[in-house]
Amino acid sequence: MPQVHYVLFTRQMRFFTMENNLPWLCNLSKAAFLPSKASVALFSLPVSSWLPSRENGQIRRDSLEERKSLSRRVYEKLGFHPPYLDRSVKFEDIYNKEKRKTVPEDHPLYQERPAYSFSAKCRLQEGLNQTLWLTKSVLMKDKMPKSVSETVSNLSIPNMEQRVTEAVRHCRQFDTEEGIIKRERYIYTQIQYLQRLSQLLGPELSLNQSITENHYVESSWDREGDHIQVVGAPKGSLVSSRHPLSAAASTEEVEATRGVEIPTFEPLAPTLDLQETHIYQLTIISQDHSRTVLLIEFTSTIRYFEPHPFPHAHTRVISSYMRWPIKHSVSKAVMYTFADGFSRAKQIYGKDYNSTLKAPVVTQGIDTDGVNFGFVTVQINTLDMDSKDGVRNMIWVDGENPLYEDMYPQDIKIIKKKGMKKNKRQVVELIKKRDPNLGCQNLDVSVFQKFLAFMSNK
Amino acid sequence: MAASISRRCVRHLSTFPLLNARPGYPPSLRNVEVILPRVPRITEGNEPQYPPVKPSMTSGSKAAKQARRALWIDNVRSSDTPVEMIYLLNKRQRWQEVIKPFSLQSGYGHFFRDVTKTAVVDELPENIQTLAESGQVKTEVEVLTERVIELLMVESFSIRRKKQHRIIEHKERSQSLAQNILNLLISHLGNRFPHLTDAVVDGRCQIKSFWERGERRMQFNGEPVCSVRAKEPLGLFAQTTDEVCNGDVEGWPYNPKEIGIFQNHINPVCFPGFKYQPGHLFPHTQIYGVNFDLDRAERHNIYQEIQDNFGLMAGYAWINALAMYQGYCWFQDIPRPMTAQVIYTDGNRFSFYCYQANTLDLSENGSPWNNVCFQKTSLPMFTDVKDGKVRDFNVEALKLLVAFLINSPERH
Repeated sequence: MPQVHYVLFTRQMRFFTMENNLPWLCNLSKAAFLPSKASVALFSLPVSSWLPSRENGQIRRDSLEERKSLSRRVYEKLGFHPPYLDRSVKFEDIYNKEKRKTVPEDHPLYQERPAYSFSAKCRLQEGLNQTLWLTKSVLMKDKMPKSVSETVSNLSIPNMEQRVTEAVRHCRQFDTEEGIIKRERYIYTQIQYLQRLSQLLGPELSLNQSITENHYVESSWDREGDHIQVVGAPKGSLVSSRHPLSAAASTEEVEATRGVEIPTFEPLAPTLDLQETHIYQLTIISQDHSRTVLLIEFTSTIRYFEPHPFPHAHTRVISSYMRWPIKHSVSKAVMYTFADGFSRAKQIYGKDYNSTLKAPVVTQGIDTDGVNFGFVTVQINTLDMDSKDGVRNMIWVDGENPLYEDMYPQDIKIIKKKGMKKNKRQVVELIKKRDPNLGCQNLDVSVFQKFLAFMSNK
Repeated sequence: MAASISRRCVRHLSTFPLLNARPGYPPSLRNVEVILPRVPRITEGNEPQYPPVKPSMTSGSKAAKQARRALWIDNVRSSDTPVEMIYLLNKRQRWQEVIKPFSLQSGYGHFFRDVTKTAVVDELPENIQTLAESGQVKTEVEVLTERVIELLMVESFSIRRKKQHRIIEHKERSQSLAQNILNLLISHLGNRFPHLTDAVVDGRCQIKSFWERGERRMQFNGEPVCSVRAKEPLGLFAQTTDEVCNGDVEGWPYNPKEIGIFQNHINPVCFPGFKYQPGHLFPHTQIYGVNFDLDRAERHNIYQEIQDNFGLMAGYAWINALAMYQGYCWFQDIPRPMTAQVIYTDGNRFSFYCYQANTLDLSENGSPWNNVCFQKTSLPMFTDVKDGKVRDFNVEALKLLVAFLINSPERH
C-alpha cells in the first residue's frame, strides 16, 4: 500500500500555487480528489518532496531582501557602502563588554606599552599610598605646613560663628523648594557661600584672585616606565592667583627626602584602578576639544593663554558628591592638585626639563563633602619622575575635619531587600523624621579658619 | 408578570383608578386656596427688628457664592502668619497662565504691562543717575576697570567649554559672566559698604510667584543667576504724587494664547528663592542671563522687545513673592511702595531696570496708583576680545553696575 497523506488546502498555504511551483504541482495528476466539496486532497507522494528545497534560514534571508528599501538597493548596486546598520553584525558583538575591551592591533596609533589615565571617576582603592607612588612624593608628618598652621588661630571675620551657622542653615534647610535638599546642590552652595565669606578678609583677595568653575586640566609624566596622565574637569572650582605661593618647606627639609623609600604594595600594581589604554600618541594631536574615547593626548597644560593675569594655580576646591570614604576622595584631591602644579611647572621650565626645580611649585586643594573638609598641600621639587633616585615631592594631608555634626534628614534611596533562605525580608528606610532645626550641631569654627588660611595664603 | 407590564402601560392612559392604586388626598381638600397672613411693607421708620438674613453657605446661588468668597477673603486678611495666608490662596487648583520673563512671540509687551499694571519710563531715575556720576563711584571704578577687563579675558580664553548647541553656549557664557562680575563686585565693595556684607545672596535659585488681575491668574517662573536680599528696603525711585504713578495703563483684552503664553491647571507656588524664614525679606538687586534661543530672537527682530520688557516682569514677580512672605497680597495692599533693581546680560550687552511697585491690588476698584519701571537697555560693555585685548571697553555699564550695588537701603 502506498503512503496516504491528508492535506488541508487553506488560504494560508497559498505558496503552493505560485508560478515557481507549477512544474512541481504537475505531479498532482496522480492525486485523487474526494468527491465531496470539502477541500481535502490525497497525495501518494511524501511531504518532503512537496516543499521546495531551501537551505536552513534561506526563507528569512529572502524576505529580508524583499523588505529592503529602494535607496538601499541602489547603494548596493552602485557599490557604495550603505548608511544603514549591517545586519551581519550581531547585537552581542557591540555590547558585550569582554569583546569591546579587545584592542584593535590594526589601529595606526596602537602601541604595545599601555598608558594609564586618571579621571574624576577613578577610585584609588589603596588610597594615599597609591598617590604617593604615582606622584613620587613623601607624606609629611605634620598635617599642614608650618607657615599655614601658625596663621589659623589668628584669622577671623566679624560675627564669624553666627555667619557660618547661617551659611550652613541656608544651604541645608532653606535653599530649594524641596523638603530634603540634594547632596550635589548643597555642596555647590556651601562652597560658594564660604568663598564669599572668605573675601571679607580684605580687598586684596578679590583683586589678586580669580575663580573659575569646573576648570579643565591635563598633565602627564613617566613613572618608572609607565605613562601616567591626570585629566578632566572635576566638579568644583579653581582659584588662580596673580603671584605664586611661597615655598612650604625649607631647602634642608627638601634635601632630607633624598633617601626616603616610597611604599609599594606587591603583588598589586600601583597603577591599579587607572584606565588602561593601548592607543595613544605622545604629542599633541589637535587643539580641538572634540576627541574620541580611547585616544589619549599626552600633554601637560592648564589651558592658560600666554599673558594671563592669573597664571598660578592657587587652590582647587573639589566637591565629592559621590559617597566615597574619605581616603578615596582625599586621594582624588591630591592627584588633581598635583596635576595643577605639575602642568604649571612644565609651563615655566619647558617640556624637556627633567631635574630638580630651582624654586619649588606649591599648590593647595580642598576636598569637601558639604560637611567634611579635607585640606591638601603639594610641593613639587622635581620633574624627574622616571628614576628612583633624587629628591622627592612633598604632600601634607589633613583629611578629617567635620565642620558640624550632621543631624539633617538624609536623602538616601530606600532599599528593599527580598527575603532569601538565610536572610529576612527588610527595608532600609530614610531617616526623614529628624527635625531640620536641630540639624547643625557642635559647629567647629576652627575648620572654617583653616579654610580662610588656605584662601588667604600667599 | 404579563399582567403587571400591561397595567404599567395602561396606567397613565386610563382615567379610572386601578384597584391597587394608593389613595391621595380626599377630593374635598384638593382645590383649596392657601391664604397666608399679610406681611406689612417696610417703610421708613418701620424698620425690621430682626438681624439681616444670611445667605446659606452651602447652596449654589449667586449670593451664596459671594458670601463664601467674602469669608475666604476675610480669612486671608486675618491670617496670623504669611505661611497660612499663602496656603489659603494656594490650596485650590485653578487655571494659571504660566509666564516667564521673556516670550519669543512679538507683541507680548502690552500684555506684560497690562498684567502688572506698570508704566515704563525709558530713563533711569534721578537717584541712580546722580549716584552713577558721583565721586564715590568714580574712585571705585578706577580700581575695578583693570580687574573687570582681566575677568573678561579669562572668560574668553582660559575656560575650556565643550562644543555644544548654540543655545547652551549662550546660556553658559552669559550666566558665568553675570555670576563672576556680581561676585567680584560684592566681594570688593563689601568691605566699605556693610549693607552688602549683611545681605544674603541666593545663587542659581528659582523664583516663583503668583497673583490675580481681574479674572486672570498668573504664575511666574524665573531662574536668575544671583539675587541679593537685604534686611531693610531700598529708597523710592519716584513719589506717589508724581505723574508717572497716576497715569493709565492700556488694557489688553485678547487671548494670551496668541503670544505664546499658555494655561496650566496647577496649585500656584510662591517661592522667592528660599523657604520662609524671617530676616532678609526686602529685594535689592537681581541678575539674569540668557535662557532662550538668542539667535532666533534676533532673526525675528524680537530681541529689543525682550530687553524692553524683561525687568518689568522679573521685578514685579520678585517683589510680589517677597511681599507675600511679609504678609501682604492683592487683598491686603502694601502700606509703602516697594522697590527692586534688576540687571540682564547676554554676555556683552547690559540692561538695567529699576522697578517700583506702588500697589499689589490690581483690580479695577483698587488703588489709584500704578507701578513704574525705569530702564536703560542694551548698553554694550565691550565689542570683542581679540589678540589678548578687550576692545572698546565701556565704563558707563560698569558705573551703573557699581551704582546699583552701592545704592544703600534706608531705615523707615
